[in-house]
Amino acid sequence: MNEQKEILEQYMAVNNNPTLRWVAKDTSIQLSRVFRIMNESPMKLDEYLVFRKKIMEKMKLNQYFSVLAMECENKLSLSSIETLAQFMKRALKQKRIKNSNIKYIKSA
Amino acid sequence: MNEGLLLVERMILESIGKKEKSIAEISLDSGLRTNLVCSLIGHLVMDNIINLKKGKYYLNFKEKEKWLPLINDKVNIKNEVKELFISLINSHFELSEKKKYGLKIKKIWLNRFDEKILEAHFNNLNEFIENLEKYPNRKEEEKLKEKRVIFWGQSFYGDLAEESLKAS
Repeated sequence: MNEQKEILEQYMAVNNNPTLRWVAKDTSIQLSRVFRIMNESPMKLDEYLVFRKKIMEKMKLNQYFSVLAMECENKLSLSSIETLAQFMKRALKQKRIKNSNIKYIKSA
Repeated sequence: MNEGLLLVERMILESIGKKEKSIAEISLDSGLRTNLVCSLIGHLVMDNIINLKKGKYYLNFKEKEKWLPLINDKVNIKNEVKELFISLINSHFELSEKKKYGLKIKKIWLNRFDEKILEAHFNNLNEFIENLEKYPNRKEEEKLKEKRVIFWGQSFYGDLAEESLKAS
């Protein structure tokens, strides 16, 4: 189920949290089925693969970021790369905190 | 922890720095959602920066030498200030005209006389703000989220341009 949760989170993130109707249209999965999947009903393999394919397609569109990062790495000074790295690390930390599991706190 | 504190983490520390608080109280004081406060608290507890006693969180001053120098490290502070600037700039450009919080930037020439006047205004502003900080009762009564963040300062255009080139 963790894999399902992860792939759905990734799908929603790359598509800027679309509506369920949009997801249904994009994946060609029935709206009621999308609703159930989003509410943790286990995914079938073909559904999982559809979401994965859609993410990959979107990632290709975003591939420029990887290319850009590589170009920065090759051309910028070490201190500039460090500045960018710090910025990215902080963005990741923010994301981790937003997504982190709060069960730990409840038991603390 | 190596990345320093996020703006929201700093808010939590400032909130419990005034007085030990429960998660609900921190949320009320900071304006951050309860589940986000829970999450932030979890990270800060794991880093040994804060402790829990009878449902209230407080700063772990006993071990402050382990975390205080790290969070006040120059690079980390610089990143926090950058985060504040970015948030201010984003909110300035993204909010509707009505809600703009006033980010003013002007490029102007100053002669010696203008420079003296500007310096006097800056001194007045500094003094005014330092005086505002002297009211201890405000610290207790008012909510952290209602604090205003004010930026001021000036520099030569050429120096800033040169500095911007160092970023490559």
